[in-house]
Amino acid sequence: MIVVNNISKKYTIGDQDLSLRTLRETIAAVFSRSNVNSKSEFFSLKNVNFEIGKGETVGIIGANGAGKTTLLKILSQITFPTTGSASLYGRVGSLIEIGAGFHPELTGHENIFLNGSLLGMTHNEIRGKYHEIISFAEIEEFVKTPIKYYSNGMNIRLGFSIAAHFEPEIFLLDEVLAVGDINFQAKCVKKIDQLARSGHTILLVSHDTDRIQSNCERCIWLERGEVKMDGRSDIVVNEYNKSAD
Amino acid sequence: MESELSKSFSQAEGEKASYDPETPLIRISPDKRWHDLDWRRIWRQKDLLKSFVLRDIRLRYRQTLLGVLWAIIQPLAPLVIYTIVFNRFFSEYNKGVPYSVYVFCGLVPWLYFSNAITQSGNSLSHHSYLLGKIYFPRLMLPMSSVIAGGLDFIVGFALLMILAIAYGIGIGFSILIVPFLWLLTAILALSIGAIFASMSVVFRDVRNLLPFAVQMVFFLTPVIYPPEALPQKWQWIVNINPVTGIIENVRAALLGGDFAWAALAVTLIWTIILSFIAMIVFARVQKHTADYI
Repeated sequence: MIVVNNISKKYTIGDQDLSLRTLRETIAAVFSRSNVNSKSEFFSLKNVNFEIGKGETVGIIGANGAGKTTLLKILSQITFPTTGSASLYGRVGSLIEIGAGFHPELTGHENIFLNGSLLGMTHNEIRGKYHEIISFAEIEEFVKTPIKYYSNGMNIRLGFSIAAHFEPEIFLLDEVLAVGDINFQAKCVKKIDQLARSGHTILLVSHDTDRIQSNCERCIWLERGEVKMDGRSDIVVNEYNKSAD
Repeated sequence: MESELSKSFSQAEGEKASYDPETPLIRISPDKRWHDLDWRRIWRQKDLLKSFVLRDIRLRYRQTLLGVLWAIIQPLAPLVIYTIVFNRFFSEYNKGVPYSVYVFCGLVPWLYFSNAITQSGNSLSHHSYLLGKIYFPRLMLPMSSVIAGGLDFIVGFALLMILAIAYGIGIGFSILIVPFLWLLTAILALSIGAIFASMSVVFRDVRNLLPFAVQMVFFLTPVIYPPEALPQKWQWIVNINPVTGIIENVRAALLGGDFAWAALAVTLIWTIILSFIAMIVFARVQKHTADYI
């Protein structure tokens, strides 16, 4: 179960270069307050509230910049809300990028353990699912090869396969189904359906409203950081498409 | 819709009551507290630490021209140079110990300490590509750098023992203090590295500052010279230096003589203070790494 309670995320524009600041510039900024006024604030998310029950598959749609990815990053603990809170009941697996942490010089085998433990699996769990992972990814013959020799498709298959076999109670997916060839996409959709039916909670961010409609019963529509609509997928998608026209 | 939601909510509430205590509950909020370092998750995800360490070690030695030989060359090359250049300057302090062995006792812990600080201090910026993609306790990055360097320390220390035996220096039970000294060095280096890592997230020039600072501290540490070689009025520099307590005690353990307990106490005090500062600073910064980097 996921409970999102009044979450807002504020970014300060004109402050993006913060990571490129030097000590001297920061010290200078303390003494001359002049540039403080030139900053403007903007809310990537604004008072977002919802609850997702155990075993629900929920889609999140919205235009670019509506805050979909920010929401997913907050639920994944990558970034934190400015105000509000969220509670997640269960292990969370978040797939914002497929194959996060893959290192090109390491073999497929080594990367399975690295990426799997990044997702939150123990090495024992990985060993238990190792054969399922490589056969789902169709890379059996190449596990001893450094993945820099893998094709793009093989990389994606392996990354998705590891995450799908992690079987977290809560699965957060960001546009990941937009990659890979048609056959593999179909395989992924089947796997997600299977996870959903066995009681996993799934949150799926996508631009593809058809996919949302066929995979999710419920859908949340974000617009400019706010929940515009929350309800049955067909109704929400219908309204969303109408507004886009 | 309303009733459906509340139904699913009460269902889940009922489940929460019978909640498996093993299953983690994640709560996300903007508060900053020192325990945000997420020790519980570090423990649960300790296999990730193992994966990071294995990756670092594999990448260090795979596909390099000399492979594992690097671990041997890295401490031996400076040893040879320091011995050639400084041997005659410090012969009066020798107490019968060959200068090369004396220097190596300082060089092995120093190389470990300085590499651990540099690697862990850069660990967050090196992994910026990961920080925006997936969550794991960020402290695991500097931790894994410090642990991965331990292999170099083990290799270096083995070389040191070979060198000592070659010079006919007997190895006694006092050597058992070395693992403890290593642990102390690791915690000290992790604390300093974590402070630098947090600062490097916010300030770009920390990356340039770090190697410079390490080089400066090298000359203020009795690695290539005995502490007694310093003039009386500058003695306090080596006395407050936290690395002195480590190096002097490695020397005592291997070359005989009394342990430098006072210097060890200084190291211990520094380690306690710096590890607290590191925890506070790192906990404050780690929640925002993805926003900055």
